[in-house]
Amino acid sequence: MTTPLMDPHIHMTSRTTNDYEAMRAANIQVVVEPSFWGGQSRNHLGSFEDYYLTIVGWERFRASQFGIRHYCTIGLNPKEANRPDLADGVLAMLPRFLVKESVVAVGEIGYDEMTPAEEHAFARQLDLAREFDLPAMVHLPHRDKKKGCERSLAVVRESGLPPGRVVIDHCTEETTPLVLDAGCWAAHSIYPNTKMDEVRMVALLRRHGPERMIVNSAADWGVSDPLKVPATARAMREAGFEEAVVRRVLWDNPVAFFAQSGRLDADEVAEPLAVDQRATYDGNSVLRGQTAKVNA
Amino acid sequence: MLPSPDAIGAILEGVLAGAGIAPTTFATDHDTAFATAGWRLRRAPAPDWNAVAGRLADLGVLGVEAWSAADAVRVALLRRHLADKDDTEAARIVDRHVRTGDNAEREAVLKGLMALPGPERFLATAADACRAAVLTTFAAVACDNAYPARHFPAPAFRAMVVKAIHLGVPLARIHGLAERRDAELARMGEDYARERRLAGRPVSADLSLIAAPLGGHP
Repeated sequence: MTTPLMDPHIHMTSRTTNDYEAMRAANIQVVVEPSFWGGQSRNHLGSFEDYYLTIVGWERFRASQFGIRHYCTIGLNPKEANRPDLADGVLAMLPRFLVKESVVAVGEIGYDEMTPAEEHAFARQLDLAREFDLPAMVHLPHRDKKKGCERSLAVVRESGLPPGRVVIDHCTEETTPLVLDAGCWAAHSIYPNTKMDEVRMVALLRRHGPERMIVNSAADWGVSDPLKVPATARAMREAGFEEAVVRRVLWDNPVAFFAQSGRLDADEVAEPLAVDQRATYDGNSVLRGQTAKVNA
Repeated sequence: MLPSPDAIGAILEGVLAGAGIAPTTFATDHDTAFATAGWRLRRAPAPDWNAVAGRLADLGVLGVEAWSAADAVRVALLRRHLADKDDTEAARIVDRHVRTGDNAEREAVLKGLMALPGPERFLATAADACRAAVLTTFAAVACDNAYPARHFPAPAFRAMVVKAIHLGVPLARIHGLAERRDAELARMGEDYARERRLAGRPVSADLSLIAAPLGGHP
């Protein structure tokens, strides 16, 4: 199958080069890495700065070595929005990153425990999305999800950000229809054990159709699988979906959503990136005009 | 010939004007204009360097044929921004751009080092950039750039050459190697070749460019 695939939510800094190889072999050509929590809380403003720099720098290069185009979203995640000693400093730092080329949305933002501090950071970052003309990626809480979704959609509405520029992530059977009715994009994280699986995803697509539906692996440092987007493609084919629909949900939709940033170019990403670990970056050979001596 | 910053600036601004690009089109503040140039100019054709590449090379600025429109804009913006800064402030600004830029931002600064006023002020930043694991960032300093040969002390120059061999970067791309190579670099090359042979790995033919006795075989 030659349908190109995109994983629009995956934390590649936590993954190995074996994952990159397997992803490219499974035809994943583009990834979006949302900035998020690190598994434990950061204690310094500088830790956020270096993390953001890593995902616009080293990680982007690392992905390119495996023929994968790497974009990211930058934001203060909801868990760490609860750190009064750090949150305002991080929010003040974000504008420096929101102008960078590979940043295609503000995110992940939203609620974790639905505290006032989370709400403040959420609303402020939706303002930043408008100010920097970027879409927003909103993460739904894993506990009290339905109420969290309703409140998230209310905050989005109040922000004045057009709903078509907002993706609500980690949707499930209960929350997908709320998100679609609000005019936002509904993203689904396919996980080995929790969140959502391929079979339930197929059922959701049957019920709601492909419009504004997005699928990702949300793979990170926990038990997760960076090949869940191709796994969903297989499940859709086995369930009888036409290839055009597979492509729409797993490529056209995420490309169209993030192309709203003006930084991810739909025509550009349609061109596969060459896999060449020694010599190329964004199609330009570093070793131009010479014969690279690659070790056996 | 020693670099003449004013002449370089006039040529750069001329090339951009010829391409119809005003460096401050996208933002009036320096940092935003510098950062956004990459994606704002993504579809802009590369500037026409043919008429000026030779003159820039005479002024110490090599490799402009590979500069994108965004590279040229970023170097021009940085030149303007540094114009009224003292040495300490200028060094701090250049270092900050390299430390807090994305790959393309930092590589534009590094490729453009010789086009900046008083490039000797940026030695610490340039030498540290050679420690990058991002191949393109390393190459921005090491390849087609007169800066290392002109400004690096011997240890930093040798470390850069050995790293280039290790990464498979052709030594022909290192400007001034024939003049800067020395006995210590030859020893480092020989040691590296021995280690490779013991490991049963191929040895780059490029090693002959530094390992041969000075004035010896090619």
